[in-house]
Amino acid sequence: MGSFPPTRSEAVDDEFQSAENNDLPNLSEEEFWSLWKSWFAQAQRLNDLDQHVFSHGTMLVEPGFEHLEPEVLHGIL
Amino acid sequence: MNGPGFQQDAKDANPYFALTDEFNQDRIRTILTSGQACVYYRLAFQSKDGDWLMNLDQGDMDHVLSVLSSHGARFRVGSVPLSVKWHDGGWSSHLEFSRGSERLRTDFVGRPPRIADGRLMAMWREIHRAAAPVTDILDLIQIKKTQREKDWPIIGSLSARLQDPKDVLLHSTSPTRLLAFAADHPELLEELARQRPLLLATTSGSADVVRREIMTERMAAMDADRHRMRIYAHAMRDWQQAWKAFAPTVTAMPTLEANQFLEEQAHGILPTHPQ
Repeated sequence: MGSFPPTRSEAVDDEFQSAENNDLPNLSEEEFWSLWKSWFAQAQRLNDLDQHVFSHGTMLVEPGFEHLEPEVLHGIL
Repeated sequence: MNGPGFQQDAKDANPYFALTDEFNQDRIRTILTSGQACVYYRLAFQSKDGDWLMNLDQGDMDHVLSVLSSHGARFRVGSVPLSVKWHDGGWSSHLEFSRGSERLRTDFVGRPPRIADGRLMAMWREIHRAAAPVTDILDLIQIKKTQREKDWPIIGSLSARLQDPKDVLLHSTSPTRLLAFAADHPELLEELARQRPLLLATTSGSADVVRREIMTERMAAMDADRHRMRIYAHAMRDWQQAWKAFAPTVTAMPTLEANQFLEEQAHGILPTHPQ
C-alpha cells in the first residue's frame, strides 16, 4: 500500500510537503477523519499481500517466509 | 484516564488512537509515534499499523499486554518478548489482532533509534504536559531517519513545521529555508555548524550547493541506519530459527502466556544488548 498523499522521495525541498499539497492540515475534523477512514479501509484490502511482511525493523519478513524478501526489497510487497 | 489523551471523534475514527488511551489508562505508559504520529500531525497517511514508544517498566508492559490480550492479540512470528530485558537493548515487539474486517498491528520499542538516553528520559517527563501522548516533532524527525526512502519526505514535512531558528537550522531539509535562516541568523551558524556541518555550505549562497550537502547528509544517515539494523539482524538469526519450531504453539497462546514463553525461550538465544 503506498502512502497518501503520494510521496516524492527524490525531492528535498519544500515542494514535497505532501500534506500541504493535499491540504490535510486545513480540512475540518470531519473531513480529515472521513478521508483517513477511507484510506484505512483501502489499505486493509491489501492485508493478504503483506500478511507475513514487517513494515520496518530488523526483519523484512516472518521467519519461514524468507522467499518473499526479494519482493519486499523491490517494493512489490 | 489521567494526562493527555485524544478527542473522542479521533478515537472513533482511528483505532490506534483509541488503543493508546487504553494503554494509558491511569497513567502514561506509551507514546504514539511513527506513522500514526504523522496522522496526528496531519502530515500523511503512511501506515496502517500502530507504533508506540514503550516505557521501560515491566508493569507497564504487562498492562499493555493485558489490553492487547483483551482484544485477542497474538505475537507476530519472529517477535521479541515485550520485556524490559530486551527492550532496554533496543529491540522491538510486534503483535496483531483483528477487529471486524480490520487487521490491527501493534509495534513497541523501548529505546527508539537515534534518541539519546537523556532525551528519552526528558521525553517521558515532558509528555505529561503535551496535548496528546504523541512523539513531538523534533524526536519524530530523529526516529524517521531510517534507511527507507519513504521516510525522508516525511522528515521534510515535519521540519517545515519548525519555527525556532535553531531548530530550523539543525533539522530543515529545505535548501531555500536553510539559506534564508542562515542569512537572518548568522550568529547561530558557527555554534550549530559543529552539530550540523552542512550549515557551512549556506555561506556559498547557492541552493544547489546546499541541496547536494543535504543529500550527502541523508545518505550518511541511511547508511548509519543500515549498519544499526545489520547488527540486530545478525544477533537475531538463532532467534528466528527457534521461532520456526515454536511458532504454532506461541501464536495460539494468550498474549501474557506467550510473552512469558518467549522470554524463557529467548534466554541464551537472543542477546539482550547487541553490539
